[in-house]
Amino acid sequence: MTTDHRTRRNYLNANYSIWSWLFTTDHKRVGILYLLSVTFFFFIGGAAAVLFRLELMTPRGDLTLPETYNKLFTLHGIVMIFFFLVPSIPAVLGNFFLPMMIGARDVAFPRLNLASWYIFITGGLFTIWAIVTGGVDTGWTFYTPYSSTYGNTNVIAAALGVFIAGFSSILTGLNFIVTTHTMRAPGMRWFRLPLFVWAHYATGLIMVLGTPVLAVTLLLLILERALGIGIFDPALGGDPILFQHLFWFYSHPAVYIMVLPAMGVVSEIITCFARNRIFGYRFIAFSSLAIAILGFLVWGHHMFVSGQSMYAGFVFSFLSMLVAVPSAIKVFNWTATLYKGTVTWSTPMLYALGFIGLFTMGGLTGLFLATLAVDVHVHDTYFVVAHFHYIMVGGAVMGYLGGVHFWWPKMTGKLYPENWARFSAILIFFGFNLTFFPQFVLGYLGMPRRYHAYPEQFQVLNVMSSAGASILGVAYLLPLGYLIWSLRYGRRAGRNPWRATGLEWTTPSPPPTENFPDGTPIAGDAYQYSSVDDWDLVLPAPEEHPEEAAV
Amino acid sequence: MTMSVAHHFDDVEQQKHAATLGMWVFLASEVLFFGGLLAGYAVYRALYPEGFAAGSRHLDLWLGTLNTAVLLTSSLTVALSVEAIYSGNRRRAGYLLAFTIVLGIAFLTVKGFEYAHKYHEHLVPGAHFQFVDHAEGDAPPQGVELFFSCYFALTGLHAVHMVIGIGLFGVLVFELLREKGNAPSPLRIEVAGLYWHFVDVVWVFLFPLLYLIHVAE
Amino acid sequence: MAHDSTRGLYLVFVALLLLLAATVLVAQVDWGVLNVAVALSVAGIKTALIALFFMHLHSERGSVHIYSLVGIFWLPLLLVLIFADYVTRAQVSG
Repeated sequence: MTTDHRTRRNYLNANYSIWSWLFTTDHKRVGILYLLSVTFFFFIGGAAAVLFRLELMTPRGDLTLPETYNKLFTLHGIVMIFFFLVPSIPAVLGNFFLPMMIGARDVAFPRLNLASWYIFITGGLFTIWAIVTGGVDTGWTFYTPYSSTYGNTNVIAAALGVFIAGFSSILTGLNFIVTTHTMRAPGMRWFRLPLFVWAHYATGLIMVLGTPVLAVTLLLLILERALGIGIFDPALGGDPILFQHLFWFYSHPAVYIMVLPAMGVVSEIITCFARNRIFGYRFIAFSSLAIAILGFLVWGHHMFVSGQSMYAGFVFSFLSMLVAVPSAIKVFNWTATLYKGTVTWSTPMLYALGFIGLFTMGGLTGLFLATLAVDVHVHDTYFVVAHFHYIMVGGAVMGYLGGVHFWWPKMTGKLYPENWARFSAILIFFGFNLTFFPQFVLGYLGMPRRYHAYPEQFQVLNVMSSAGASILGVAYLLPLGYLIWSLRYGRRAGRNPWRATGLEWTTPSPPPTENFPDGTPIAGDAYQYSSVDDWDLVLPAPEEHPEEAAV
Repeated sequence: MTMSVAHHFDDVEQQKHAATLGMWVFLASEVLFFGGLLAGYAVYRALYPEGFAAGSRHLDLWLGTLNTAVLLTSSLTVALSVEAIYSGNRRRAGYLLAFTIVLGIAFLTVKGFEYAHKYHEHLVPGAHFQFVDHAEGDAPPQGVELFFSCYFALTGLHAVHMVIGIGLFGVLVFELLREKGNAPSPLRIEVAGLYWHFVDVVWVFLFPLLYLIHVAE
Repeated sequence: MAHDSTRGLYLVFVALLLLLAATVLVAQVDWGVLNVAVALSVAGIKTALIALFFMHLHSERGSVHIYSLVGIFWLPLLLVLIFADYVTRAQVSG
C-alpha cells in the first residue's frame, strides 16, 4: 500500500514544471491556482482591516489621516468582496469538487475555466495597481456622484479591475451550470446530486444573471468619469439613485454568491459528521434555487433612506422578509439532521456548527434591517457592519474554512493536525464574536460606519472589537501555518478518511488527473449514512496509515 | 465534416449539448448585460419623454432602417452557412460567412457615418454637447443629452459585440477556405452563429427604441 | 438536415423584412403609448422567428429552452422593481 501511494501518479505530481500549472486545464489545478490567489487577497484585505481596527482603538483619529482611513476600508471592502468572498468557495472548492461529485472528468469548458483565472488575476492586478498608486476612497459601493464627479482617487482603475474580475465570475458560473446539466455520470439523477452541487448550480445562476448588470453599471461609471457622458449626473437630469438600483441588483444577490456555496459545504459536513442522512433533501435543494431567485427581488432594502420612493420601500421590505424563509428552511433541516445523529466534533464539524449559529444571528439581524422603520434608525451604522460580517465572515468564511479542512485530505493527500485545527476553529469563533458582537451594540447606540473618529463613550466597545480583531487575525494565520506544515509532515490520508459518501471520496487522494482511474463511476443515492455503522472510524485510525511522514 | 470529441466528453452528443447550452447560458448573461443599460434607458425615457422624442428625431431613420435590413440579411447568411457546413459544403459555408463579415463591416461603416454626423452636430455628450432644435428654436427639452448618452452607450456596446463576432467569423472563414488543413467543426460555426444572431436580436430591439420614438410628431 | 430547410430560412428572412417595413410604417402614425407597444411586439415577434428558426431553438432540448427564457424572465425583474420606485416617487426632478 505504501509504495502504491508513493508511486501513484496524481494531478499534483503529473508534471512539476511551472508551465504545466500556468497552462493547465485540469479543474483541480485551476482550483489550486484560485486557492493560492484568494489566500493572497484574503491576507491583503485582512491587513487593511487590522490597520483600521487599530485606528479605532482610540476615539480621536490619531493613527491614520482621514483620507487614509477611507482608502483602507475601501480597500478592505473591494478586495474581500470581489477578490476573496465571491470566488472563494465556488472557484476553489467548486472548481475542484463539482466535477468529481457528479462523476465527470472535468468541467464542461476547461479552457474557459483557466481563462477565468487569468481574467481574475488581471482584474486583481488592476485593483492592486489602483491601490498602490493612490488608492480609492469611495467605499466598495462606488456610489455616484461621489465616484463619478467628486472623488479624486483612482476610481477608474479600481472599477475597471472589478469589471474585469466580473467576467471570471460569469465564466465560472456558466461552467457550473453547463457541467451540471451535461456532465453527470450514469445514474446521477438531479435528486441524487450532492447538495453542494445544487448550491453551486444556484450560485452559478446568480453569477451569470447578476454580474453582467454590475459590469455594465461600472462601465457607465467609468465612461461618465472618463468622458463625461453623464448618465448619473443630476446636472443633466440623471439620477444618482439609478446607480444604486443597478449596483444592488447585483450586489445584494452577490451576498448569496458568497453564502450559498457555504451552505452547500455545510450540508456535506453536517451529514458526514452526524452520520445521518440529510433531513429534507429536496427542501434544501429547492431552497437554494429559491434563494437564488428571491435574492434578486430584495435589493431596495439597501436604499430605504436614499430617496427611493416610500412605496417601493414597502415592497422591498416585504420581499426581503420572504428571502428569510428558504434560509430558515435550511437551518431547520441541518438541525434536524443533527438530531439523533452520531456527532463527531471534528474540525470541519466545528466550522459547520459555527456557521449555523453565526449565520442564524446574521440572518435574524437581517430581518431588523429589512424592517423599514427599524432600518431608518440603524441604517449606515455599525449594526449593519456587524450584520453583514455575521453573514459574510460568520457564514461564508466559516463555510470556506470548514470546506478547506473537510476536503484538504482529498486535495493534498495529507491530514492536517487535528488538535491544532480544532483549536484554531474555536479561536476563530471566539475572536469573531468578540470583534463583531460589540458592533451590534455600537450601531444600535448610534455609531455610524465609515468614520475614523468617534465620541468617547463608544471607546470600550471599540476596544473590545479591536481586541477581537487581533485574536481573529492570529487565528487566521494558524491554518495557514499548519496546513502548509501538513503538506510535508502531515499523515497520509487514505481515499476516504472521514468515511464520507460522495463520488469524490471513491478516488485516490490526491486524485489522478483523470479523476476516476477505474472508469466513470455509477452514482447511487446521496448521503447513504447510517448512524450505527462506524462512528469510531470517522476519525482516521492510525494503524490504517502506517506511513507517518512523507519522504 | 469532422467532429472530434474533446477528452473530457464521452461522445459527440454530449459535446454538442454542452457547447450549445453554454452559448445559450452566455446569451442569457448578455441579455442582462444589455438589460442593465436598457433599464437606465427606460427610466430616463419615462422621466423625459419630450427630450427622448426630440433626440430621436435627430437620428437618421433611413440609415437605421437600412442597417436593420443589413443585419437581418447577415443573420440569414449565417443560418445558411450553418446549413451548408452540416450538408458537407465547406466552400459554400466559407463564402456565406465571408459575406456575413462584409455585411457586418457595412453595418459598422454606416454606424461610423452616423457617429461622425452626430459629432459635427455637437450631439456627442460631454463638454461640447449642444442641442439646437431648428424646428422650434427655443430651449431644448430636458433629458436630450441623456438620450444621446443612452444612444452612444447602447449602440457602442452593440458595435463592440459586432467587432467580436466579425473576429470569430474571420478565424472560421480562414479555416474554411484555406487549401490545406481540416475544416473547423460545424459545432464551432453553429455556436458562433448563435452569438451573431443574438447581436442581431439586440439591434432588433435597439432600432425601435432609439429611432422610432414618436416619429409622427 | 431536410432538403427544403433552406427554403424555410428564406421564408423567415422575408417575414423579418416585412416586419421591419411594418414597424417603420406604423411609427409614422402617432398612436401615443400604443406606438411603443407595437414596436416592442414586432421586435418580440422578430426575435421569436430568429431564435426558433435561425438559432434552431425549435429542435433543441429542454435545458436550452430554459436558458433561452431565463434572460426574458430575469430582465423584467430588474425593470419592474426599478419602476416600482420611479412611478411612485412623490417628486421627480423636472
